[in-house]
Amino acid sequence: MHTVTAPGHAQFTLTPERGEELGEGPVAVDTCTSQEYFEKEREQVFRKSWLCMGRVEEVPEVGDFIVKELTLFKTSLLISRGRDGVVRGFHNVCSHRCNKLVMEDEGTARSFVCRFHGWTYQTDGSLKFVPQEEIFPPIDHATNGLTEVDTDVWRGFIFVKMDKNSGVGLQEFMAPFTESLAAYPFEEYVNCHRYETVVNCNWKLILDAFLESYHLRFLHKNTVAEIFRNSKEETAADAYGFELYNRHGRMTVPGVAESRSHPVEDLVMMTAMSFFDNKETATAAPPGLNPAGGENWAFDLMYVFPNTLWLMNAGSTYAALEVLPLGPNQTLWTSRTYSPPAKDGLERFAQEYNRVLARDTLAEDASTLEVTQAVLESGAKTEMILGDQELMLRHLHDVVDQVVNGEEASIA
Amino acid sequence: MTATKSTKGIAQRLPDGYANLERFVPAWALDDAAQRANARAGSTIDEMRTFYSAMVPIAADAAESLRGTPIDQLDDQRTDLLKLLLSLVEVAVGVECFNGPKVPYGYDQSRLIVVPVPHMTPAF
Repeated sequence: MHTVTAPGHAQFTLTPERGEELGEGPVAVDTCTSQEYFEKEREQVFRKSWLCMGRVEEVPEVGDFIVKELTLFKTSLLISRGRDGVVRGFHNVCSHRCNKLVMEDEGTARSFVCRFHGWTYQTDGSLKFVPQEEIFPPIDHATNGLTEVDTDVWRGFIFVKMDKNSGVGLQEFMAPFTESLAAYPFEEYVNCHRYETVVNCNWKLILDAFLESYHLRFLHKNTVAEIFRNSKEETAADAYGFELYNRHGRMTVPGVAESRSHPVEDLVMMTAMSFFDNKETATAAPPGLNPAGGENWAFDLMYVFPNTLWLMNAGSTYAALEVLPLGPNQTLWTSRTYSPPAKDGLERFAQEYNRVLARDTLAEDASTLEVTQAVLESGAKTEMILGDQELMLRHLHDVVDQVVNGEEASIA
Repeated sequence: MTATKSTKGIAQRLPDGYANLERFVPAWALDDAAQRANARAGSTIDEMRTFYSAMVPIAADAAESLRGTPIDQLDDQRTDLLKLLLSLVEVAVGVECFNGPKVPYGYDQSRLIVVPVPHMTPAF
């Protein structure tokens, strides 16, 4: 790394040893086009990692369920809240003749009944009833329930891990964030807008786009660049406070929400600032964020290995991005914006701006990523050149490569 | 939806004082985020500017008039006013950032699928 932190400025990296270890060489890009590498990622990275599936508020009551189609693993996943209140994940497959059990995307059930022959399961996955059980050889109900997938909850986020025999538990896996985010009110942000799209690019390229703020003043010159004052001052949105763990990472991006003669944007900003029982000002971070303590704080970015990003800014909102590869050059990208329930129409109006601006910014990123993938496939370039501001990308590609080459995926 | 009759005999959809916005109700008082996105995508910049220019001068007062009432307790007229304000946000990003309905060099809007989240999707 070349960066030297000047006196009075926030520390560039809070984990300098890891920064040094990553070096400054170019990074290979054939990992973004290779079918063979993708298959290793699927087995070594994704199957052995804790993957975020959503929030417990999606299944608030006993019997509530959601179904996630995990194309990557050729499986359908049933997540349900049992009578004991525990949220569990199962392969959505009947134990009898292996038919798909639940056909709906979501709902509430007293029990799950297979539409093929009526085999019935409790919401905790146990086998409850077999029609005409006497015509079968003895069936051990205790061992013939639904096939469970490792499931656990961290701060209301439901995670699953497909490979039961690898890595650490979720609480240990998420430990790098547990203490610092203890006061962050995830549990209050129970409203959510979600977008899904299948993007024709490698999953790592999507994460790369969010793991640096260097591109803001160019790619996002129409949308968010000026919010980060980036078109006026080269270094205004330079990230700092990089923290790189064994797998996860985080960084802080500064900015100043100055007026740019956008009347409705100004109105929303003023409304938002006047309205939220403002626990923080525009440039003061909510609890647990901005760990390096820099000025003009704008947002913190959390990278949860391997496929999740949380973008946490001021005001009552945060964005969550999840990517699940479908192949080396195709990815299911889910984008969510979370906020507390608006207490009136005024607050709803103010929240709406964040959603629309986030969506249109995403549209700028997604089209660029498809173009990048398309020319990457030419093989003309074998590596990319990364600067200090792109330290998080270097970390991502290095960690994925470690895991693809045999290191354990789920470690803290 | 209940609607009172104005003096001209046309159903009044908005609270008193917003008569000049009544003409935007059919096109822009929409029920959800997907409808608003489609409405912007299907508009010309002139149509967007007409709506935007009519809304901007009253937006602050209109938004303020919604303070303090839970959304599910708004009457139909104030609900439609909120819906217009939400469409204003959709249109404003297009007008203020792109001067058009679409993100320049952007991703095709129709590929961004709104997927409601169970129990977490806010009204409208």
